Amino acid sequence: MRRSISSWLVLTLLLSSLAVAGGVFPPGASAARVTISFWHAWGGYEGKKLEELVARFNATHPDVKVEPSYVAIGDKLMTAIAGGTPPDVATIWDWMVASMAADGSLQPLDTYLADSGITREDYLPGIWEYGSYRGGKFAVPTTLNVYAIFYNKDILKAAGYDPAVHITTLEQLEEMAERLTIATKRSFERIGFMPQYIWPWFWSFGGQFYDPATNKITANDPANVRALEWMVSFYRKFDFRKYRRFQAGWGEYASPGNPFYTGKIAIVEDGQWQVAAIKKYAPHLNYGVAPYPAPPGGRKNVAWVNGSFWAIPKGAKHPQEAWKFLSWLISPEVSAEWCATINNIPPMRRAIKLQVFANTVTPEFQVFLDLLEKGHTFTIPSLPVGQYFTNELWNSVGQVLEGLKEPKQALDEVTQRIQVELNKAR
Amino acid sequence: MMKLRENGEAATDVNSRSAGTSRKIRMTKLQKMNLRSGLLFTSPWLVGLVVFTVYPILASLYYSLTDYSLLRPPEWVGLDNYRTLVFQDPYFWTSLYNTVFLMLLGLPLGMVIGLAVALLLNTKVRGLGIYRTIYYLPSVVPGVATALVWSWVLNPEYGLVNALLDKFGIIGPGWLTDPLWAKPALVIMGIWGAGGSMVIYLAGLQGIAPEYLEAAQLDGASWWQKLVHIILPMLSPVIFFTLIMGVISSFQQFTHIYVMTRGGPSNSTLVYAMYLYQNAFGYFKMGYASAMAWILFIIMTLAIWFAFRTAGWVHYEGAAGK
Repeated sequence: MRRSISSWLVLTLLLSSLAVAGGVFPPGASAARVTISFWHAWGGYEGKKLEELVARFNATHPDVKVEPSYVAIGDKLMTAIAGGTPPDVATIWDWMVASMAADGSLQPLDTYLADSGITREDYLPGIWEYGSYRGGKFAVPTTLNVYAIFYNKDILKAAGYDPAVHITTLEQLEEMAERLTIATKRSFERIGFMPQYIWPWFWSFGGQFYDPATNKITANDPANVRALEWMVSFYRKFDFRKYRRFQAGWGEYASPGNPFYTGKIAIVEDGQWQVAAIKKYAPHLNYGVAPYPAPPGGRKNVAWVNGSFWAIPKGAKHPQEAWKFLSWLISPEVSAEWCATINNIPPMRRAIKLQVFANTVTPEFQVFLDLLEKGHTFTIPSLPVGQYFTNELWNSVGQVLEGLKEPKQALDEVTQRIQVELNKAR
Repeated sequence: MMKLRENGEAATDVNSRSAGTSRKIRMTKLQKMNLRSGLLFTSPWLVGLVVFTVYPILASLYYSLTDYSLLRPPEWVGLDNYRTLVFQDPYFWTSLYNTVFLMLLGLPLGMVIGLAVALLLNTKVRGLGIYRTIYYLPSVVPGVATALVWSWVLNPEYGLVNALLDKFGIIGPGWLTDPLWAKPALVIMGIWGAGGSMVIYLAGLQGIAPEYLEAAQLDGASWWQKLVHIILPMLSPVIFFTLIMGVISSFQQFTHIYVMTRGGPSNSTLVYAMYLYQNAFGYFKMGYASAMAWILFIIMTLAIWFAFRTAGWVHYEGAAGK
């Protein structure tokens, strides 16, 4: 009995202190302000811009306060979610979306998107599906990258080519690669062209990596095998070992020493951010941009798209407020400003037309935007084994380039291995 | 001996005798107090040991028998992880092969060179302290810094090594970019750090009583005879120690490879710890990675057991006729 009286006393005291607090702070002001944490993956000037945007959100939203922090996304985010202390909003990469969604570690965003009136049509073609998992939205795309062919006009001109005529066929590319290459005894002085990425060539040859209807990995699609055979032919022609040594002598990618700027390589595959990077590091470089060429019967104008996403992890304390912030962040105005700063492409159609972004578009950059609007957009398959898929594919292609395996054999093996993992992932 | 033991010690003797009958250890008040304060003072360490070492080790044993992705609760799969690793995972064997290759090539080389340098630095030459410092210095440099410096030294186009080879008209290999040369490159880099074992050998050499060498000298033993019949046997416990430590650290090799090659090119430097890390933090296959850790533990235990079984060549001073 005595115990219950004393606990009543404590409770009354507590309640009265709360009442006092309520009296001191006017209702609706900072006392009720919800603080949410935001983990992003941008440092340097990009991070500064993002934090500037966050500050603007905080200044205009008295009910929500966002605390941004720059975090290396990856195991840290996973551990935080597993430990029940995730951020309210986090950056994640495309290959993480499906595996995290399959694990149930992301909150579904479908109702939020519907409530905010955001639909498939707001996005560029193919982007709504990108990063969906089994028809559900678990993350919203925030920045996009598209890849194409960059070529050095001066080198082409000196070799007697007309740079106005774009690289449109594979034969042209092969012929240029050979004619523009200057070999030395131990290495190269210049390489014309070497295929760099796997995905876009496989798509250009007409291949696919995954069949959603049967849940089967199709990395050994005959078109993919042909694509790999074509890629390998370059490495055989130019001696892979020698090429690797040449490659080791290249300067830093994001520096004036980039081999494309210094003319060590005449034609490269790269993303649209390179347009801004060239302006910064090699302003006098005379270059052009062309879409990926394709073999007869293949797919022309393949737009390989990748990018980053924002998501609300499972266990986030304030999902409502998190969405409030997220929907502000992905609104065309903010997204256009953000993407213009970091030279990525905003995923929403309307954002591209906005002045703040349109001002940054050069003729070279326009090639990428056209690809997104009119080309075939392809993204990596949304699979719960995304990381494993990418690693294994690179591994087996590496073995083929090394001459250890034949293209068909390597792709058959890797298909089987990934399928085993996929079946395990449920 | 007995004379040295007094009061407390004698009491223990009495107690331990009575403990045999009552199966209960009785302690004096002072001993109890000592025990309590002893435990109290060591408790920070004890708690740390249990919470951060013993518990994780036991937990990893459990996780190794589950399918655990960190985000989903672990699911019991029995010995599946072990079975997959041994019978179905080609990279498991690749990583084991690479690790053993690096150990068999690097460890003996490092030991011989460490010993040779120690023998040289055990003589009386001018500026000995400076030499010793210089040879020891590389093993003080943090792993990441070493790795970054060496990826420059081994750069096939601009690196120091190939520039030197160029002077002799040799076109140097691609080193870390060439699957054939990546492992030898790592071994060369490891030798640069042989100063660590050198210091231990040096301490061992200083511990050899000069009387033995003097006696051998008087008997007319040559330098080589002294080395083989006195120095090496006297040093054998130290050599054995560095061998065991070398085996352990070979299996744990990770930092350099993580920084320089991440296991590439073409998995030629995919060592065991690297592959374990890839599974744990690349694919979040925590159960699988735990199973790898336990297999590593078993392999290392067997290796060390084997080393002790064949340790007939090790002579301990004072251990009569072993």
